[in-house]
Amino acid sequence: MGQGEGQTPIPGTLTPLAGAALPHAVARRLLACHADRLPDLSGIVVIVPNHRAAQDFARALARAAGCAALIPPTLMPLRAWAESLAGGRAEAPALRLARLHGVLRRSNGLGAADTWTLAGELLGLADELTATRFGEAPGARLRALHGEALARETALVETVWATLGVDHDAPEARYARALDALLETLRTAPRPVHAYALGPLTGVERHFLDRCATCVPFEHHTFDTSTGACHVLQQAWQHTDPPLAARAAALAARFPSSPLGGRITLAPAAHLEAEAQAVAAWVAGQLKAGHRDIALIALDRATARRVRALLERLDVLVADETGWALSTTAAAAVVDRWLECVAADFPHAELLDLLKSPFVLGAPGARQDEVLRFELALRRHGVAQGLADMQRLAHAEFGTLPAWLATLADARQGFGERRAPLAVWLARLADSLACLGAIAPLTADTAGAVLLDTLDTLRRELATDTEPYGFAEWRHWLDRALEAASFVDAAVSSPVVLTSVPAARGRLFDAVAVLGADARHLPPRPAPGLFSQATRTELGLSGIREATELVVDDLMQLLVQGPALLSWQAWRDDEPNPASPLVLRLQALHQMAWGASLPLQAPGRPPAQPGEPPAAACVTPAPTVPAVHLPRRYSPTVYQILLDCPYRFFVRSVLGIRELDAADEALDKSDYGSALHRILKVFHDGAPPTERDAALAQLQSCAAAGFEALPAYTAAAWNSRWNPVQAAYVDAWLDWVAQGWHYASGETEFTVPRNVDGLGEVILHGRVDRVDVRDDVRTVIDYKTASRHQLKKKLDTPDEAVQLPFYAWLADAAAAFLPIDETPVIPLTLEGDTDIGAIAERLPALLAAIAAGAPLRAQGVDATCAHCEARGLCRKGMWHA
Amino acid sequence: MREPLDNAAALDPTACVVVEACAGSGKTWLLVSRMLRLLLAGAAPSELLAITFTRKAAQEMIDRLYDWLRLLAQSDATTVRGFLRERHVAEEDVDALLPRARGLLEAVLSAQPGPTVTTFHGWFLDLVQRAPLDAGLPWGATLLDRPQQMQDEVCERLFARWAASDTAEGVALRALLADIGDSNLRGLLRRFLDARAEWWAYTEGHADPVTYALDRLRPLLHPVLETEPAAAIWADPLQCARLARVADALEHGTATECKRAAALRQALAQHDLDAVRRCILKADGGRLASKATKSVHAALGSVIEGWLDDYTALEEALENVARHEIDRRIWALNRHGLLLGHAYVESCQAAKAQQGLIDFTDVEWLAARLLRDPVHAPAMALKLDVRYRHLLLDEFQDTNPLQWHALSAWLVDARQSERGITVFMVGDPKQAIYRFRRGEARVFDVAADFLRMQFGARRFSTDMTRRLAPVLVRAVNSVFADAAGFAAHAWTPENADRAGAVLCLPVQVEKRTVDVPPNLRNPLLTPLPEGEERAVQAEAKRFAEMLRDEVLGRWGVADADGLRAARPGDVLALVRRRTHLQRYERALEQAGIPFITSRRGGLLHALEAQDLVALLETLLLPHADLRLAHTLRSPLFGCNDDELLQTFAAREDSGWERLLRCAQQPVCSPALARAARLLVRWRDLCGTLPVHDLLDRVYHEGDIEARYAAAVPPAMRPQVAANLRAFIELALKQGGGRYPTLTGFIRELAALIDDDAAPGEGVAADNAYAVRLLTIHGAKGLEAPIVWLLGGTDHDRAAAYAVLAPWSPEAPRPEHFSLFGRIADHGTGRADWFASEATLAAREADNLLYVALTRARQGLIVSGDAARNAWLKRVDTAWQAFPEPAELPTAAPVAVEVDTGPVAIVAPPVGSRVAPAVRSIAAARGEFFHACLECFAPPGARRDLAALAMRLKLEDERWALETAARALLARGELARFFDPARYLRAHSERALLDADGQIQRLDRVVEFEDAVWVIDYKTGEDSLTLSDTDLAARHRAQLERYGQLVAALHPAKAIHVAVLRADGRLVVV
Ligand code: SF4
Repeated sequence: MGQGEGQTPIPGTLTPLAGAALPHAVARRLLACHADRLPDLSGIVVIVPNHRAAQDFARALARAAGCAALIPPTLMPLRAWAESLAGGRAEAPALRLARLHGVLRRSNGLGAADTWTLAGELLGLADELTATRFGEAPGARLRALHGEALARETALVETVWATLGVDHDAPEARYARALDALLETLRTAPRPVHAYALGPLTGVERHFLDRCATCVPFEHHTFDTSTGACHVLQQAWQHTDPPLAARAAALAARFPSSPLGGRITLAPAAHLEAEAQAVAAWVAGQLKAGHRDIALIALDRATARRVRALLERLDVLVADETGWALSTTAAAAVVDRWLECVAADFPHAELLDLLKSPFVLGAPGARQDEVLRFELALRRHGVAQGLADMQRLAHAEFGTLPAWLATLADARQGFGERRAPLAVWLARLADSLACLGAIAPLTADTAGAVLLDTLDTLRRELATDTEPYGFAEWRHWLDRALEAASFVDAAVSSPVVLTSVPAARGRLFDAVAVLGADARHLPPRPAPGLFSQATRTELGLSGIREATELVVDDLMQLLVQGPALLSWQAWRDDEPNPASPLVLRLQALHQMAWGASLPLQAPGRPPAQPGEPPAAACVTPAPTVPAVHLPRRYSPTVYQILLDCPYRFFVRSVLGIRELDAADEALDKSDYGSALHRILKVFHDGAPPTERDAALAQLQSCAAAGFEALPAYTAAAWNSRWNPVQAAYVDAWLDWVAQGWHYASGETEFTVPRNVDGLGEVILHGRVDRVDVRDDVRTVIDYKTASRHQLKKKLDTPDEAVQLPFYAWLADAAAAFLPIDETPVIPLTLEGDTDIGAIAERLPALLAAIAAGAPLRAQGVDATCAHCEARGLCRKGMWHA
Repeated sequence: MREPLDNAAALDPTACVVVEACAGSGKTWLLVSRMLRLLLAGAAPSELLAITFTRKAAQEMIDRLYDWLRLLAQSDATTVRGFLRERHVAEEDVDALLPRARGLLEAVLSAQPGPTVTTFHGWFLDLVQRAPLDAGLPWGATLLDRPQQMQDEVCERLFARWAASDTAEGVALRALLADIGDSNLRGLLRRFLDARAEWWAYTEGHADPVTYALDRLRPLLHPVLETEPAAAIWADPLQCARLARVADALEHGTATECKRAAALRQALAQHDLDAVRRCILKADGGRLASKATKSVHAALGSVIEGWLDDYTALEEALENVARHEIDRRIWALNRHGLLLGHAYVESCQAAKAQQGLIDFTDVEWLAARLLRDPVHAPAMALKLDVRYRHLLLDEFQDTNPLQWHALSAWLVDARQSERGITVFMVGDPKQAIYRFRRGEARVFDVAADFLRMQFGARRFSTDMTRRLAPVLVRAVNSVFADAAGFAAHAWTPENADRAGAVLCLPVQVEKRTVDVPPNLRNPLLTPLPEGEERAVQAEAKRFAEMLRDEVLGRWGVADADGLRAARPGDVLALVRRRTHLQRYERALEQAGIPFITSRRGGLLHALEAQDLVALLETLLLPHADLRLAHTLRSPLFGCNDDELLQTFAAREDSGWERLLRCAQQPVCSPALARAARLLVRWRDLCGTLPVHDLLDRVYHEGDIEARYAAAVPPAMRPQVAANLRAFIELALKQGGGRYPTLTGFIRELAALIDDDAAPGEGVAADNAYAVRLLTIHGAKGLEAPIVWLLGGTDHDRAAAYAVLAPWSPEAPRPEHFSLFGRIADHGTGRADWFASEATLAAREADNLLYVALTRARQGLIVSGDAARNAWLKRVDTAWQAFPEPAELPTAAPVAVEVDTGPVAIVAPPVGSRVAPAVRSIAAARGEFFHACLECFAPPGARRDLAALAMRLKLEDERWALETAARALLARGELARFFDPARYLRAHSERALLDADGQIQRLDRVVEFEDAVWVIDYKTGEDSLTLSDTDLAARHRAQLERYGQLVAALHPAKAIHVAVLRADGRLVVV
């Protein structure tokens, strides 16, 4: 059934078999035909779609035979059967790819094409073409059909032909020879051959079956679509004629109630989580109903992964047969981090990742504390990259170079960098991994073992390839190779399996769920390749149409075995996401025939572990603090924070919690500010001359020194920012000097002790940028990179912006902001009538109140909250009103 | 030229048609109906190509199409006939088309491929990915999903390189840094990059694009740019003399004038032209209304005329100098900026090429190039699997010129090669709001003309809206009455009785006087009042309170089931920009109204998402106190401030160590104990478990959903739940699961947080529960019973340091391309372009208002700062002239079905974990030896021993092992089992099927006359260390099972079972 229009049916006797599941039917048929042979069926061959299907078939056979033991028929997929007889070995795929790539990378005019991708695609195409047993060379065929329209594509195909010698070493060519050999053995010693659910057949395979049918009894079994659920699915999916209504009427006449009733359930979900919950609920239901072997067909991998996690919460383990790209495993990630360290001289993030990994450098527990200390040091010192700097830092931190860092350095040293063939690079990688002590831990990890094996196999397969590559090129290749390799975690054994449509072909299940049955996954749509579907057809290759028919065929076999579920996300990313056309067609037919839609599966609630104490409603925090926890020293910054939001004060000053610096934070505005502060201090400390040009020159040299150590761009940017201000600064200063002021000190600490009720003595203190004196008066000056406008606003509300009044009070002086990020440079002085005493004395009063139990409420204004590091603690935004 | 819409003509499947359709007129209805008519008329599904503006719109269109096809397939004949008539199928055809109509569902669903409904980007990407190799496109390239990150990296790299070099770029960089500063420079480069398609189009075919662009700019500027204009003035004795005269005269004036005179003298002496300017002109560069006071006039007497002439001449000279200087600045900006911009673009392209990536702009540009170049046409035709013959274009007003050129090239070509091609285009230039994405409303007219000329397309327009109630139609008409090209809208007859309300709410705030309150504020008792933007503050409060107290639960809205009171989901609140979004959110929060919002950064800014990030960071670096404290305070652990004090206050060690120690104490609080226990457990998992699986453990063991539901206010619950869900989905999907480590994932989130590609908030399943707070752009295509347009203070900031690239849609490329700085530096040479850009911008602002106002079905409220909001003033004026009801009649609330929540999933445990097989060299040897025996023992099995040895890494030992195996088989005492002459039959690897359906493989079965021997090879090294009894005991169960199987096959014979060890000893069991 379901043969593509362009394809001839598979030869041999076609025997449609009734019954729900094909393997059972085939087993019964086999026993009926060959009852005389029992118990020895070894003379018979059954071609099965895959090895797991063989196991299922064996089960079916044992059940049908009902005897204690029998000698089973040869149960094999066609390819395995043939290759068990083939001699010689096919050229390794990695080597073929490398050889082809070696040629492609030298051919001109491929422009921006990714040659590895292209090589991979061409290799696949070559295999497909070989498998059609294409008579003439495809290049010639293409030219004959399309002239020069696809000149470059044609030329490429010819290159492949010339490079790979597709008629000899190619795996498909070898397979074709194996089939020939197999046919010979069948000719000489004929055995009955049965086959079912063969899946897609290449030209070569078809040809074999053709000839096979002429020399041995050959039965190809399909299932009978004239009955029950199967018939309904066939009517929905394989026919469009007569019209829907007529087919529906015929079905209704034949089956008064729907044969699908209660068997096929749909789960259109509102989002991914809902889909996963619906599937999990359905699986749970099946298990409770006593069904054991359950297939989850993962068309949508994300949902499948989510379902697996939810089921694991119920201790329903899922065996994943499909696997993941090797590159997505933690083991591969370690290799990737290591190579990134090699490539970019140890970026801190990758390095730390490596240091925290259990796969390298011995047990991570042993170095854990050191690594944490190292990480904090990296952040403190802003070291983002560079092994040399890191070694220096580690030395400073630990007094000696920690073993783990030394090992990394050694491994890096040993990693050769000259251009080399792929296999040599792989050997270098293996050596460095050994040096890092990664081999044993990786071997002990299931994915790690596969990874090492893969690397090793690639190295052996590529031993003869001599094309040299640079590090980056090799890494690109390696990434692709690990992306292409798959990792199947065999750590779970379970009758509930996560699998794919081809892998489920011909197998027995008690229940089947199809996850992701939407239009984007079903039928599958291949990505556009080198040739269009039409051209592929001209070349005798199969296309979308065949793929669709095949998937329909496979799904029918799976869905009729027992209860089935089709789930999908009816909404995705807030967009409607139509169901698969197959689902829509089935729904329409069912609705018309029986006036009812298929039943729906609702999401279930996955279990969780409630903890003690239960969560309480979020409210605005307002802790009271015992006096012992209050700090003893108070700067204007702390005072300001207390004014802005008492809870933030609680976090910063009582709990003492600060944000950690990130190692690679770009230099920001405040860094510019502090650089200027330093420069100006050096300038004034150096007693600059009061002659303008000389003063300017001196300031210039201070600035030059101050910016010298910066990265080039930052230096340039800050220079160009400071340059125009510099002269204005000198002018303002000279003006100030002319008024009789002179510089007394910079970065000066002022402290005032105060006795606070309930708290005892506290120190109020502040560090002032510059102190100038005239006669016996002084002015404290605070440099600011903020704009004049912003500073004015602060001066307007000295009771809320307390820094300057607080300085004035501490130093008993006049006070001024000096904006140093704009011209002209004009100090902004605190209004003379500001009651600085009242402002300053408010602080001890507040502290007394806090010590006496006044709560520290979270109540910042939005402008404060926007930059507040404590939001995660105060939980503003989640408060109950 | 524009005819009123005639649906019959517009839907005629053979005609080409352009429809200009106002908001709510049913564009989608028309478009999908047209698709149906095409299908009915025999078009193959694959011949349909519909292009719309967003993927969401495309999906909705497909959804609608399927709905209708289902209806046609399943409804009774009368309904179908009615449906066809509604879509103007000719009466005589209705019955004839009935069968076809019914069959369309299956025809479309089984078509391979089906109709294409996509966006320009989607279509272009498909073209580019299929392009023939000789088109020179990046074959195999994949779409870069987050361009911003790469662009920033490239920028940093270039800056570092340029800053350290003396190349032209280095010089340009330093010059620009000095002239415009770091942040303007970055802005400029970013905008240049955004305009790269224009840049490429403008400079296409020129080997040196920068020089070309500069050459074209040069004539627009002052002829002399190399020298400073000020010098010319000082070199001109005439001017100097004038200056002196002016100064002299001023000395006769007031004290101020004397000062001016002195300053002028000094300026003259120092050749300081800026100082001169300050004396002669106003601060803003304008001319003084009165040049001198009466005293000067009096002093000069009749000479004043000459003096004034001098003054005017100076003014002119100074203005000339100013203009000249502007041109010099323009020149410098472009000379340096274009150089760096071009280099930046090239570097970004190179970076993408290196990684095999392309972005949407590349796709657009490449597709346009591909379609415009006829050379590739034949190859392209071979590359495509579909021949589109019916093009349907939606929302065409938002198309950009480049897209239009690509499309028109394709159309011209398609018309030549294909007969019967049709084009159907709908759009509404009034709703064009995507200039910032290079959309160009004028494309619509150009395209309409093109289609009329080339395809004979008729152009219809409709102003009949099905969405707006009559009150709203009148209100909208009054607002736009004076707008150019606006035709008054009408309502559909069905809506005639629908109630409507419009309300304009100007918010007034008195200017706050800054006076220091008599007493200092006590921050422990009195919070600081919210300071800035008080109008917005007041507006937000009004908004939330009015919704809560007057609108929700009272205003009656009509839906399919009749009249009911408004629910939060009925309200759409719109803002023009995101600036004040937070303020409105806060107000809704305080009023307890649930909402969803399109805040920038979306999901990752939500507190619950930040909680999870903090948790993950804590797992990686528990010594980060802030993260740990954040995690502890989050509902996940729900620790209170006392517990924080215990953990953090006054200590020398880190909070983490304290927490662990505290958890050891018997008196530890349950919350801290739980936190310590779970954190330690999860920390152990984070090295090996994939991020998603780790998060699932966290959700499961931390009972996250329930704890958040208990912690947050009821109004927020659905959104918080949706966000938690979205976060775990992120771990599954972000970067296609490419971040296998936790660090990688966190870093990715950190990089993403302010990226344009940041994931949006989770969408709660039930939309009815929440007010939607969106930008007008975000609300495109949406509608709601009640719309509130929040105006705020609405100050427009003019673009600065950006690209001027006017591109009229008829032209193949922009007519100009240059950079500009601040408004004051626009100069005169480009004035026309600036003016027309300004007109376009103004039109777009109008469009934005139109789009906002026409989202509403029944209730429309506009609010904003009465003093500063232009829209508000406009609406207020219009509506005051035509008063309409200000509230909707009340209706009773209809209870929403309360979701009882899903049922708990319960299932019996299934499956088990299996320990991975041990891989040791001993095991490998055993396996190989085993294979040798199989191979060498007659009749012999086929095994590729060489390959096996290689796989097992036993190449070195291979020969030794093989020899040993042969030697074993040759042993005399074993001959009866291995010498074919001594037995009847022997089988190696004998497969037997037991009653359970398991296939058992027996190493060797040897049949004699009276007996059958089953021999099991135990060739592993471990078997050598066991005594015979132990060995037999170990394998007895298995071997007896084999024995039974063989016995069943040979009931008459005696069965013997034995183990063969590697040393050749046979142990009979
Ligand atoms: S976020 Fe706001 S309310 Fe919360 S602690 Fe920070 S400043 Fe206070």
